Amino acid sequence: MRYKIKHVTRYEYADFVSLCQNHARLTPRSDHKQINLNSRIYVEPEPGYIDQYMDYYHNQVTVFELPTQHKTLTVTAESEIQLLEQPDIRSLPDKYSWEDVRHLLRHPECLAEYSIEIQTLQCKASEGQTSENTDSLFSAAEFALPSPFVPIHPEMKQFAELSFTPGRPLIDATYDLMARIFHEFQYDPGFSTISTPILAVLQHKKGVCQDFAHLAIGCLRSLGLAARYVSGYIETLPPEGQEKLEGADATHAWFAVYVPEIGWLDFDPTNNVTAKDQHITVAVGRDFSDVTPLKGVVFGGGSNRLSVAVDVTRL
Amino acid sequence: MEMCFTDYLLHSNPTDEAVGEDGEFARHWQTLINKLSELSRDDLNGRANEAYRLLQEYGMMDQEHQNWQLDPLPMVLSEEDWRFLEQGAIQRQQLLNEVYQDLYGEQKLLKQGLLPANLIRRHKGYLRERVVGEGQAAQPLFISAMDIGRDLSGQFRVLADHCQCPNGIGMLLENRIINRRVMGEAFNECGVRRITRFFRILQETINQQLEGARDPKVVILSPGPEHTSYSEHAYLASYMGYTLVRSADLTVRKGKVWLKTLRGLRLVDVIIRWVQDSDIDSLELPEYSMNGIPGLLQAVRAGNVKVFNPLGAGLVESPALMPYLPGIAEALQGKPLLLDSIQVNWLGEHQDNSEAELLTLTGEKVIPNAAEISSDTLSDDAHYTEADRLPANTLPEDYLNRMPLNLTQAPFWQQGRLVSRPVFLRIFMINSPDGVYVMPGAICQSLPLNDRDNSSDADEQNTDDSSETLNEVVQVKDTWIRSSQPVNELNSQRKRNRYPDLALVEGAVPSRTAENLYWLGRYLERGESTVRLIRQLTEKHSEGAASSDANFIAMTELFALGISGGYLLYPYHCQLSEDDSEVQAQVSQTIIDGLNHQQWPGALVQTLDAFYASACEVRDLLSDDSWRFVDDLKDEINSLKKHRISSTSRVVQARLDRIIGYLMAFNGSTSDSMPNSNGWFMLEIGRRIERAQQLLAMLEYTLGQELPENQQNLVLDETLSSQLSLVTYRRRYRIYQSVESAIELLILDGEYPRSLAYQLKQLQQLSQQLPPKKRPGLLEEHDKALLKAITACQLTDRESLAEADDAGLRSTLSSLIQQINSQLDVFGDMLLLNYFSHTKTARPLAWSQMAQQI
Repeated sequence: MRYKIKHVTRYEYADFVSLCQNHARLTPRSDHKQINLNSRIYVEPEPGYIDQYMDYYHNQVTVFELPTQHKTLTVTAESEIQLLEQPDIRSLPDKYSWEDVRHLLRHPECLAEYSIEIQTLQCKASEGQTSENTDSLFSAAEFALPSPFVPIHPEMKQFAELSFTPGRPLIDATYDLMARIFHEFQYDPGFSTISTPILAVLQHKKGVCQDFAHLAIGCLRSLGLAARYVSGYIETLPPEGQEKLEGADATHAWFAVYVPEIGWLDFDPTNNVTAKDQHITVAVGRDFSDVTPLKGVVFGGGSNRLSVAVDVTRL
Repeated sequence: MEMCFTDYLLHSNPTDEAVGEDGEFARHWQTLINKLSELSRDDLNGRANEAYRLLQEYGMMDQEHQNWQLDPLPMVLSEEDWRFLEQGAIQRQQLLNEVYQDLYGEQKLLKQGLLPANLIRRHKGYLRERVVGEGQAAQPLFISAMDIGRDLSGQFRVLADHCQCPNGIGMLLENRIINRRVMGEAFNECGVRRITRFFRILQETINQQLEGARDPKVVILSPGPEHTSYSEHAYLASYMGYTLVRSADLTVRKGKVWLKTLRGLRLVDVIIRWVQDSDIDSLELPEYSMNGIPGLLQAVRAGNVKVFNPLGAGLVESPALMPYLPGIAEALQGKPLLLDSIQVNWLGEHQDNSEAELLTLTGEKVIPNAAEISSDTLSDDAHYTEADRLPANTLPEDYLNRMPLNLTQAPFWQQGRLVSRPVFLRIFMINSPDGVYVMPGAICQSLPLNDRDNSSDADEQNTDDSSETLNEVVQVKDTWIRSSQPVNELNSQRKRNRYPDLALVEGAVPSRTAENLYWLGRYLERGESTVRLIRQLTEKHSEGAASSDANFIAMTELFALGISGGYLLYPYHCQLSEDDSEVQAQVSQTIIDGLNHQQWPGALVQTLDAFYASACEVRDLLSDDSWRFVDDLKDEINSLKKHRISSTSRVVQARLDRIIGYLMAFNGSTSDSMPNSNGWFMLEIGRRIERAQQLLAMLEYTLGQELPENQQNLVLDETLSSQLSLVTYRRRYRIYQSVESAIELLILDGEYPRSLAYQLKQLQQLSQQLPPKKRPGLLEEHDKALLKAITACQLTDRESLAEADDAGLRSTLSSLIQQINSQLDVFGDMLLLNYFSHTKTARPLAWSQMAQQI
């Protein structure tokens, strides 16, 4: 599946801004799930400096600076993305119990023993593969720790344990957690802001995609599992018989859980689906703070108004 | 004196640094003790006081932390002990450097399990933005410090590593200077190793970084005067000749770092930073800090600036790493760690031990229950038990245990006797291209330690009788390392390197510094004229008490009214209010208020406070001698604030005399020692403006209106006297003394240094030093204002100025004063607009509208 994405962010300030420095994470990643065929970022007015770098989580960051006085700032990101064929997550071998995974994340070196055990039963992993898998476990373990927006709390663990019953396979349990969030929580854009703690989301059972993602991540981490935050886009379809409006799509967020020997699997608790052919990833991190699409420092400007328009078009 | 020492030996522990196994003074202390035995008790007391005075004078002891004392007795280390410490420190420093480079590079230590990945990844000091990834090497550490104590079994142990902002180098240098001054004979006889080589290596290491750079610029970045170590940063900056800056002086443009100077932006090549990692870049780092330089990390990433110590170094100084260092040494260096740390455990791997201190991963002490009480007062959480020491909703993985340690003692001179206090040393080292160099010296500090930089605080176990008073005071000592070799490190290998940077420091005055110098000049002049005015009033008041001359009393009251009505004090309301009865003309009260009235912006104490604050801001540009007068003034301010002022007392007069003396001496010492390239002309501009404004206010008030002749003469004398012009006036005009001749002298005579015309001409000359903002050939706005003022002055004559109208008003004089005042205001505004850094506050801008998301 191929998509074209246009993401326009616009700031309007009450006063002139004399200098503004920004970091944008608006270039979709290329990874095992998708290829970024081409991507461009336009900034208006013309930036005095623009550079790019790859961050700690391998997201592409665009650094730019506006040294001239301005009252509006428009950042337009356009990309063409090829989604790669994904196996149905339900069809993957769900061979590790969540407790096994927790153990492996703490002791990646034990993977070899597990593999040998399992090898006798089914697949034959080569030695090279095992060491690659160990490295990947080592990296994934970072996402089992609390992060700025996702502290760990006993209440999250209690909530999670209803899905993560003893001995239950990890993927199966994660499906259940996703479904429970989808069914028990109400989507309510008026309830939360960026600073609403996830405990409040859990208590009031309300929120938006970001809250649900953070909550699920908190639940998984409270059990010692590795979960990461994914920011991106989702293709939306207009109501039957209506034409799709321009700019009507939006940014989206979901979570991914780490499964040894398979890797990161994406779950979308807002829609109760796994990411397959409608989810386009922009950036990943421990939580929203790692993937903020556009952040900056301004000198002057007074109050500001932000507007965002996203178009996701299937090609 | 001998008594003191025998007495000390009798009561000392075998674990005293100064005492040998045989119960006598240890061999390496003997030369010192013998030398001291020749002194009398009073002599040693005198030296202790001298050290105290000098420490205060050099200003290393900042105002908020006056509980530091420099002991006249040094700590003495034997050659063998030092050799061990030096080797140990070199090895440990190399190790920390390898750890630093690995953690921000390949992370082999984590992959091999030599350091728990979970510990590093949850550590606040782990700067993910700095991880360079495989194949690239992180920049090495630069200057570090270690706190080292000796436990009672004789083992040296590291209590703390300092790898990002190792404060104390300036203090060590000053301790040495002072200690040599008060203990010179002993110092010379003991064969003490010199420390200056450290600074040369420091400079050479920096210079090596600059090779190839044309026009290189090095700055020392300090959090500013509010920070407890600011005086030290300023000291280092002036010692090394680098520009001292605060974050607001720097800006990142086009991925490069620039210094905002009077002449515009100047590229910065090297930043020696004394700002913590977490505060360094408010754009990229999660915590927004006013001390940050937005965009700095990008400039570092792009290779456009070098930052020392390298960013992220805060991680390796954490006590959390300590328990793993011996294992890492074995694995990486193949040898045991000579200098091991105090015992620390990570609760992610070990049980909490209630005997030990609880610390966060970054090393801050956790005050049990404190978090609980503040955050959870509303809930009646009963799960919390006393045994559970961790704050609520936190995990053991976020904490460390540190076992208390008893340390060896050393003798201190306290209130006329020797007392024994546990001590530790802080040593400094530098990673030069030729390897680690350890400065052969140390700060020796008594326990309890200060908390202020989270250094290792071991428990206060020893409580002798005097500890009640001593607890408040942290004693520091210079540390003498004995050398059997002749000491000639100072002269032996001084290379006359040409440092390209030194010449370039000049001419780059940061805009903020320029602004501070301007205000310093204004406060200096304002302070001087205020003291003069009040001193004069005090004199007249006491004379008046004995006199019954109605004119004399009227004149005194006129001046009192001028002060209390705010005509003669800053901000100089230059118009007489119609309703004078409101204003208190009580002379004695006016004197008191003029010195220390909370609401009067022109009261002496307010002005001197502002003077002191400005002086602190430009500390690095002032010579030691200039600074001494600033310090003396600070003492005077403090006692002015503390003591009830009695207006008639001689004490006030004497105090005012002293203050004038200090202000004049300060002024003299700056004009004598400060080059224009450091911005001295800015100070001078401030002085001249203030003097002109003050003079105008005085003339308006005393001469704006015609007075009866007897009274007029008295007032004229006082006016001239307040302008230090009475003598000149009398000599010059003899029998022609009149308002007219006074006006000629004080306003029109461009050759006379106290006249208005002279101030304006000086300003005109000084403003030539300001970098031009317009094309050559065009007059700058501020110069236009001056030209207008000077022309107005030159085009009037004394007759018309002295002439009064029917109502007795000298309207020509008043309008001239008004005109010049408004041009001076324009001049000041133009300076502000064109030359001073008007730093706008940076604000974080983040994507925050949730409604935009699905």
